[in-house]
Amino acid sequence: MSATAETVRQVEEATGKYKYGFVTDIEVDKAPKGLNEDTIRMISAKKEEPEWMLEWRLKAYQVWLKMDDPDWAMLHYPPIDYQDIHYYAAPKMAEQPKSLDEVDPELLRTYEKLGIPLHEQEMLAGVAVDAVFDSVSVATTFREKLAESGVIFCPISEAIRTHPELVKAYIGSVVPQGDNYFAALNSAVFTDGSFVYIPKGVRCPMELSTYFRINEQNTGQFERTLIIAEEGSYVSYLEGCTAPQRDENQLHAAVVELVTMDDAEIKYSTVQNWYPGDENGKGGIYNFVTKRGACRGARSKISWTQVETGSAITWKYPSCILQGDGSVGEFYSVAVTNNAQQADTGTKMIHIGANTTSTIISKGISAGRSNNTYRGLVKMMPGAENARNFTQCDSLLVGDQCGAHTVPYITSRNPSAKVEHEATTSRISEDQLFYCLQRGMATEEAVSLIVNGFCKEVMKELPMEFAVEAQKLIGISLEGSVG
Amino acid sequence: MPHDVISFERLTADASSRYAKNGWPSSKDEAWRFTNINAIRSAQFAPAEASLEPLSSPEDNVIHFINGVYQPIDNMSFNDGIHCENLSQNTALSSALAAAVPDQHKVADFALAYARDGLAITIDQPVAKPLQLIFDYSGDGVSSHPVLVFKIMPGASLTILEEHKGEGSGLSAPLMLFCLEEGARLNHARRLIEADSRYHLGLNLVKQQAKSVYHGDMVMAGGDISRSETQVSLSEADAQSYLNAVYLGRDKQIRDVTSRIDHDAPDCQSFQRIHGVLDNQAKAVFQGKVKVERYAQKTDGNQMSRTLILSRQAEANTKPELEIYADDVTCSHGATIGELDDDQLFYLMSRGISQDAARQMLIEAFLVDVVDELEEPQREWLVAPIEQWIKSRVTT
Amino acid sequence: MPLLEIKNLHASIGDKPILKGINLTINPSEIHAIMGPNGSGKSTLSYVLAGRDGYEVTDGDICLDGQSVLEMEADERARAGLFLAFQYPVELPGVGGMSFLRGAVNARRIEARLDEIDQIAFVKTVREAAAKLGIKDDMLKRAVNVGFSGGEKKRYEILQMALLEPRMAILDETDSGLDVDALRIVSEGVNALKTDDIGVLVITHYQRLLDYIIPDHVHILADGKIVKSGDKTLALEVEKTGYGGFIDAA
Repeated sequence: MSATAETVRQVEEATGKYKYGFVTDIEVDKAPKGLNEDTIRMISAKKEEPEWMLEWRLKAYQVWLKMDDPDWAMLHYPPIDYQDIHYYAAPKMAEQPKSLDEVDPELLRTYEKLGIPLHEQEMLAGVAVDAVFDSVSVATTFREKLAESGVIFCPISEAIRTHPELVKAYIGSVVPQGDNYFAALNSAVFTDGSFVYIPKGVRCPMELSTYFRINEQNTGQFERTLIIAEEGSYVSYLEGCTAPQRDENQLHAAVVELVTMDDAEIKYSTVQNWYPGDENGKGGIYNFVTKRGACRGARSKISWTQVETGSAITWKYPSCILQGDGSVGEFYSVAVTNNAQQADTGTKMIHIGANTTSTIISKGISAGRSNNTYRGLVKMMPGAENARNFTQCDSLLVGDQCGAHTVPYITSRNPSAKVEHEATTSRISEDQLFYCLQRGMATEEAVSLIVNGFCKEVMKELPMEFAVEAQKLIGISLEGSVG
Repeated sequence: MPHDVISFERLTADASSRYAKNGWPSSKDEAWRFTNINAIRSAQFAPAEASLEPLSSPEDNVIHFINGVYQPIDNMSFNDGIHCENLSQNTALSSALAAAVPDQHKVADFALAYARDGLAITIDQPVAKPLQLIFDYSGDGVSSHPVLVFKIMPGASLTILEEHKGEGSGLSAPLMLFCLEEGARLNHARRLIEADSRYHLGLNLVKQQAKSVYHGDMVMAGGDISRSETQVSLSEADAQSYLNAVYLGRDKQIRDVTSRIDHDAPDCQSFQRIHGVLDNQAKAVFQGKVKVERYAQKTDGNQMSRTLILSRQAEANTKPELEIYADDVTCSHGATIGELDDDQLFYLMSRGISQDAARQMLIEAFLVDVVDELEEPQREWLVAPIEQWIKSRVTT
Repeated sequence: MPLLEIKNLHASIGDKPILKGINLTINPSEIHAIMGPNGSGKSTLSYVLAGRDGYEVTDGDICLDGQSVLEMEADERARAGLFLAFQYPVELPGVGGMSFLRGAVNARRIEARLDEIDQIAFVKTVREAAAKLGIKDDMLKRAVNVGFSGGEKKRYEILQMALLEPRMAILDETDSGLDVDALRIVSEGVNALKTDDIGVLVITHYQRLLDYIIPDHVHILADGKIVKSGDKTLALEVEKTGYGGFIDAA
């Protein structure tokens, strides 16, 4: 697949540079601004949660109050006023819609405009979608079909009510409430997100995906996703994210927890395209996300693939705790920053079990006045007999006003474990650019082609439909960076 | 670059008040997160009092330090091109040192706070015979604070053989600044072979001007806790810096090799190679940062660290870091941690070499590799403590 | 009308003048060869013609089909039909050969307001053209020029030339690094492209390529100027006597 001529046309077509910047005009039900125990009680009540969930949230809130905003990342932003945010906003609906026919047509149109039609017959065959709009899930498709094979795919707010034993057993078991500042905040105020349960031995018959949309002004989105893959099961899960174009910054603080049992595999892919702010760095999403998977079972596998092109600030380290012997962790990342964007992203691979292996491939592209940091941790614990890690971090600079940084931490406490790390920083060579130009390609097309080549190792990990989309996004994100 | 004029007295007084205020680093300081110096922090050290009697027969180009205190200057003898005076009498160089000491550097402040005087050494022509700096330590609970500032004038060159040795349970905190003027060259070989009961926290600052070459090579074999930090600033074009280090840790020793290279000018090159071996319950960190400023185009920055772990209780930490703001650069780092290569071991054994001998051979090859390209006498002078360490490992 | 007209061309790299007044006219269907020793400005000429950044034209003009190309960027010149076969084709890691070739072909077609080429038909076209040049399918699947031998890179340049159907092709030291067999295949490739109206400029240090690609005109370049022009016998003369005599004349 090439993102050549088509990308250029896409760029031309996009009215404004960010084509998802529109706002859906819809009546909303929202919490007053500010965060206190009442806000949390209100969210919990709105979701009709059992008492234990409320208590869990309140405990997280108490922990959060005692914590400080982390300052170790290479990110600069003014202090966030946590009292100036709405913690709950939902389109007004009489009841939770039972079928798509009951969903507000305005919402359906929004998702159509985003390229995510929710009517099952119109959808990409084989992809089930959970659509989360601000603080609520508005629709989850193909649920019945999935239920036939025992797969549970529903909003987490619903799972708390319908499958409390599963949620109770796993929520916070990978990312504890007090794990970090943003995880604690999320644990207190999370509103919706997806819940996935794949029973023993089941290969999920279709791709699952969640599409996150922030719409309302001055709201934060705090989604929480929990995926459990029982022994010998497999699931591929995708998430996409967009938000309207606004002058103020909006906060997105998600928590994603994955658990794999013996021989299970979760493949988790993200195409993150939150509104990045304008050329001058005005507006954009602050994306503070904690994603972590626990490979609890032997020979289980968790693979993170991310293409990060959006957000004013990205703070995100999808990680793997490799507990089960022979378990496998993977992290494939492309992070593109342009204009005034800042990204500090990477992964943690904690090797606990014997014969565990991990692979980290990170491709950072900085353009404009942006800063792009890879931050990673590889840790071999004493029991990680014969464990292996391979890390490759490459940074590409486009223009001389941006920054590319690499901050890996490596610790080994087992002599039989082997860690290999390589990192390079370079730019698109003039030779490469000229070669493409001489073959008739315009500069932007040539840059897009070369950058996509640079990212190839990561892009090939994405499911096909998303790879094409992601390639286009990278081209669009770099628009105006060479000139 | 002209600095504010700061006397040595003022410099140490300022450092002393900063030290009184800030105290010792802790693992909350990012630069110290892997190196636990509680043992040093909780010990009481008294700065060395000793003054050194003149030597009866001083050798050319050899300076002796006992617990950081040097022999009288008029008792030293040097080849042409080496000029030595008390740092308190050279405000140009005390000012240069004041400007070079990093902000908020707690170890630098400690070193200066108790320094009584230092040496200001100017090199104004190529000097063939190496300058030997012999630091001998003794006694318990004594802290040593040698301070040296070198200025290598344009076109001048020098080789330094710097050795830290001795007994007791003291702490050595040497602080050195090397100012390399245009086209200057310094070969700086260091071996840290203090007794396993000692502590060493050293800081080397290197300021390089156009076309200068700094070649720093270190073998760190001694001390209970040993840290060597080097900060290089490449402030004019076409300068080159080489930082090579071998660290050897066993028992419960802590080893810390920290470097920072600031590329502040275009067309400069930096190369770092760090190989370490850890046995028993030793713990080590190599942390190296390369920062390339926006105007430092055509920078070539290269760093490779490799660690061999020989024991199940040892711990190796590596934090190589790149911070890059210029686009036309070639920067890379690599890091590996692991044990001896099975294939190599098998190959040697299949040729009839015993496993122990084969391991020893491979460890030695791995370590000597870092200094193998050096000229004599530095090469042999640095290989010796490596061989010594390997030999003592086998016999114990 | 001449196809390519180089008039009193002066060009510098930085402050250093390299080309010092080149005049050359190439008509449709003509093959011209420029020969010269190292440092005479041969590669500079090819880069200046193709419009590479960093090469400044200080005087004179370059016209393709009567139109000055000086104000055109490298990609515009390429789409106008100017093709450069590089002396050292650069590697493009991760960039698949097929998508690269299709991107280049489509860039032209879009400008000509033609539909983008059909993907399946294109693969077939490329395979056929590649087969003629002895390029294996496996090479087409790899990233552009990555891991290619010197000879493979040169064949790949000629393949691109075949697919892009230029008006004016410049071959910069296409013979360097080729053994005799490869040289023959590449030359056949070039000769096969010779249609009625294509112009070819062969830049070479050695005569031997001209045994395979027979030039209508030969020019000797020395110190940034054409010091002598003639027919193909001039090339043989150079082969015998070397460049010494010509340089003294310059």
